[in-house]
Amino acid sequence: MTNPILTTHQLSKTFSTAGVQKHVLRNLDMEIRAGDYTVVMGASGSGKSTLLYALSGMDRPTLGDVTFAGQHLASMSESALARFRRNHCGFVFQQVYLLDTMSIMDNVLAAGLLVSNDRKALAARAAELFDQVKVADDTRTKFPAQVSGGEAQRAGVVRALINSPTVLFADEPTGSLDQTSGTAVLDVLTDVHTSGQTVVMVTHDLKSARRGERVLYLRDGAIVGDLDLGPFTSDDDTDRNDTLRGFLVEMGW
Amino acid sequence: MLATWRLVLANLRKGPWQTAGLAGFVTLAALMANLGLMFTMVYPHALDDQARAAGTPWLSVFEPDGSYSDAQVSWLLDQPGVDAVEHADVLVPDKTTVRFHDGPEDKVQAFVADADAASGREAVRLHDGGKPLTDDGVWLPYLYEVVYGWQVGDEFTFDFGSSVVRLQVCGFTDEIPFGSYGNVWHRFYVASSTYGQLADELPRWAHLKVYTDTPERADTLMYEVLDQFDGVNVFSYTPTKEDRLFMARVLATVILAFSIVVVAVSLLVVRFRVVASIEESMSNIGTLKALGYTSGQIAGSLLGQFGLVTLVGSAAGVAGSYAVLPLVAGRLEAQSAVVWTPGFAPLPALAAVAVVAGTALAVTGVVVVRIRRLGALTSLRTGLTVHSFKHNRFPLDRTAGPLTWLLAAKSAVAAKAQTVTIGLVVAGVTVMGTVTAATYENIGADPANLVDVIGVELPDVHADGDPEAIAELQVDLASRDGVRALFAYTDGIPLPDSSWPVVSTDDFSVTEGHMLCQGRWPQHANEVAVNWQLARTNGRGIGDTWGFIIDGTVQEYLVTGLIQTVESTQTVALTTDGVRRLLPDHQHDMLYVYLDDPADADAVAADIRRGWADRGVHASTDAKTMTARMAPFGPVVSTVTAVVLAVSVTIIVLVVSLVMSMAVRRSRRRFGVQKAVGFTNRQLVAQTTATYLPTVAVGAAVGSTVGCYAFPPFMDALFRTMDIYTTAMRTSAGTTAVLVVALVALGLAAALAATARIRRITPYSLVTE
Repeated sequence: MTNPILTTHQLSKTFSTAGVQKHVLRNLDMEIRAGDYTVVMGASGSGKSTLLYALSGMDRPTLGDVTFAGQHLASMSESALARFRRNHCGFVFQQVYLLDTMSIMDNVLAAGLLVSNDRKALAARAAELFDQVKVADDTRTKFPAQVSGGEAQRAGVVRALINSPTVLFADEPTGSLDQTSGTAVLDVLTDVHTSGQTVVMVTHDLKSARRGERVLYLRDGAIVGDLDLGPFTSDDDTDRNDTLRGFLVEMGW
Repeated sequence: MLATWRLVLANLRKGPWQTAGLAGFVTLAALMANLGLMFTMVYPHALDDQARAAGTPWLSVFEPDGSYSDAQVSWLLDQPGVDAVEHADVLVPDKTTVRFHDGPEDKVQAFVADADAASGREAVRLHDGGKPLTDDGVWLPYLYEVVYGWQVGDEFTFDFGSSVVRLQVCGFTDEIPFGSYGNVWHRFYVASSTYGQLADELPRWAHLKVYTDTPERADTLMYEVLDQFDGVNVFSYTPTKEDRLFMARVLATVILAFSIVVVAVSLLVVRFRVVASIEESMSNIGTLKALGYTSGQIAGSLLGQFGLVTLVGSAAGVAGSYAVLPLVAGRLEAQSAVVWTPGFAPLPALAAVAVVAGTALAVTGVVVVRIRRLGALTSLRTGLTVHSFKHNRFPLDRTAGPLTWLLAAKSAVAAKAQTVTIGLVVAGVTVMGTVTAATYENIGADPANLVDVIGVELPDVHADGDPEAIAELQVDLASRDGVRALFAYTDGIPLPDSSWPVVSTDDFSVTEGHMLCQGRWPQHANEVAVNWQLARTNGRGIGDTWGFIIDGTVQEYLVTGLIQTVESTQTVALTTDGVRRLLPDHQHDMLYVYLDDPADADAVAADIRRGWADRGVHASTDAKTMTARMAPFGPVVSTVTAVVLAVSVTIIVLVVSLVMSMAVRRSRRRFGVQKAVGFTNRQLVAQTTATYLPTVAVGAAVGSTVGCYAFPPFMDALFRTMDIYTTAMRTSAGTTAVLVVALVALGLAAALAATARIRRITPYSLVTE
């Protein structure tokens, strides 16, 4: 068992809309272990994405705290949180969110230059990552509107990895992709995890979920299930698939 | 129609602050336009109305009583367009000295009228607060209250020859003084008893008041009268009017020029807003088209939206101008004595609204045409893109520099239209700001400068009298401490067979005024400098010869330079030796004295009077008198400067705020992404500000440079109406630099204020959006 790098303590998040309060996360205690590939699942509105963004310091909890390597995110200033995100977190969004006024390469370097001024080294690492995710040379100089959804998402993964983050967060990374593109993105995430990257992924897709080593299930803002799947080998691993399906059935998915 | 109207209302509800900002622009544009139009179209008529109410004749003929005859009246009545001729006795001193209240003395051409005998059309019309005339009382022109500073109840004195008349001010008349710059005739109304006493000492003249159907008829008739009658002074109303309205014309020109800039700015902003509105509503446009709305209906909704905003804004601007008008009119009244209470004038108002709202609507119409080219599916799927995909400007892997500035440069290039808009707006506003600041610096800060720069030779002390005494005085003063320079001078030598007033001195290079406008002064006896208009009229220029006829012989001179004189197109300049070729016995009868400390002028003048009065020498403090005369110009120019600068500041704040807030609103997602990947608020604020600040700086620099180059010809063009070819007005690098820095700082402050909302954008909003 590896050490936890992210820990939540009584984490709660409440939204108020028109005077009505909705408790999305309720007193949640959990850990994300270094090197794990953790998948968070649950029904729509169960708090999956809210948990992801609270863990990554993109949103502040209403109550409770998130601890990263001994640092309390709740007590950090906005600037400190921004520095935390640039140094330790990488994000892959469902909608990709590449900046449409920049080329694919510049989208990646804009994130990289926040951490390092060594343009040459950054460009080399970006090229290496682009090769790894199979984004062709001529695609890298194009603008987001000129590339396919799959290419854009893989570029999003490169942007997330450019600063060698401690944790790679992915929020429904295949949600807006076709099957082929989705599988390619999942392969990339699996590859980087295999090389030691900690990954936390939110999904409601069974095919995506079985890439993880650990599956957490959220219901009404609380973790009601925690499944250890072990390392992913292939999509054809029927035992693994059955175990996951059984877990989810048990959770009422 | 109803469906389109509902879309208009929906559009208006969508962005109330943007709508209000746009309306603010249009309001400012219409306000300035109506101000300029009111001073151009209505104000001159106020003077006409004042003249009519006072029964002012369009033509006044003053002639020594001995030469007046009934035949002259009959001749005048026979002239076309002459309605009536009235006659009044007046007393005309040779030259009158009056004083500013608690200030320097001034030489004017006054004439005294019997108030009890005043009858006919030109009834005495007293300004507010006037009292009945007492035996020792006087009614003065309103000019003496607002410019000279006298009040009802003051003891007013005027001198003629060696006599001093002391009278109590009982009121001020609303009449327009006759004549124009340098030759204005002031009428003092006194009671019959005083008039009778003064008649024993002063020459009696006849004042023939010629009422023509139009002022233009009087202008023509004036020259015929000069041909027909000998030894008369004739004044038509038009030059008087031009003189009174000069400052108003300068102001109207400045305001109109500025309003053109503001209208142009508002059109840029309207275009920018319409384009932004289409881009922001792209998916809505697609949805509406999918639902069956026609392009015409959708375009109509935008036309309705912006038409309504510009119409309401321009109407508000016209209404707002009526709040500013009394302020400027009041300042002008203190300078021109023209009484004007601005009332609603429909024609300028309609013109202002039509120009501002009409052009804004036209711009909107041109822009919304693009909606026709948008298919429903195109709108739904992609919409318009505001940036070019052809070039990746400033690629981050190959461009050196701080990340913030690189990203700012990318944004500026990606949003070329709004970058150019801001640049043009700031440049336009800075041009006018520079011109206005320079106007203030040249005229407003020290109105006496106006004299220095427009061709008047103005000594600290001016002595005149018997030429021999003047020559001795010159020797005496030359050795006096504190006298910086002095020279003998002659202004207006009467030459036989020539109607050109001649100015002369030994050496023109010692003069300090700005009379010479091209070439050089005459240095030798066979050289002459000629008024630029006189030279032009006669088809002569520098290098040509100029002939004077003396005793039937033509004496030729070489034209070495062109000179200018306020409201005079005839003057020529000769050296003393040059004059003596025509008048061998000529000697100068004036002495111009310049002091180390101009504040000593009173003491020097008093000394001259004490020591030389018995030799017929009179002394006056010309520079000080002119400073007092010009003083009212200061508040007028200051007021207009304040209005223009206030509008400039408002425009820059509005433009930067409007564009920045729109940029922030449209970039919410981008900022959210950047925050998610680790950008801090400070970085994003710096990036956004850096996107526009260079544009503001470049716009201000370009605008100020253009303003600096445009100012002198702009002022020259204005002063040509006063017969001044070129003024010495210049812009100051220091003031311009301060203005540019202030505008850039203002732009920065507005940008920072507008980008404050970046702090409220959270990366999490990406998910919840």
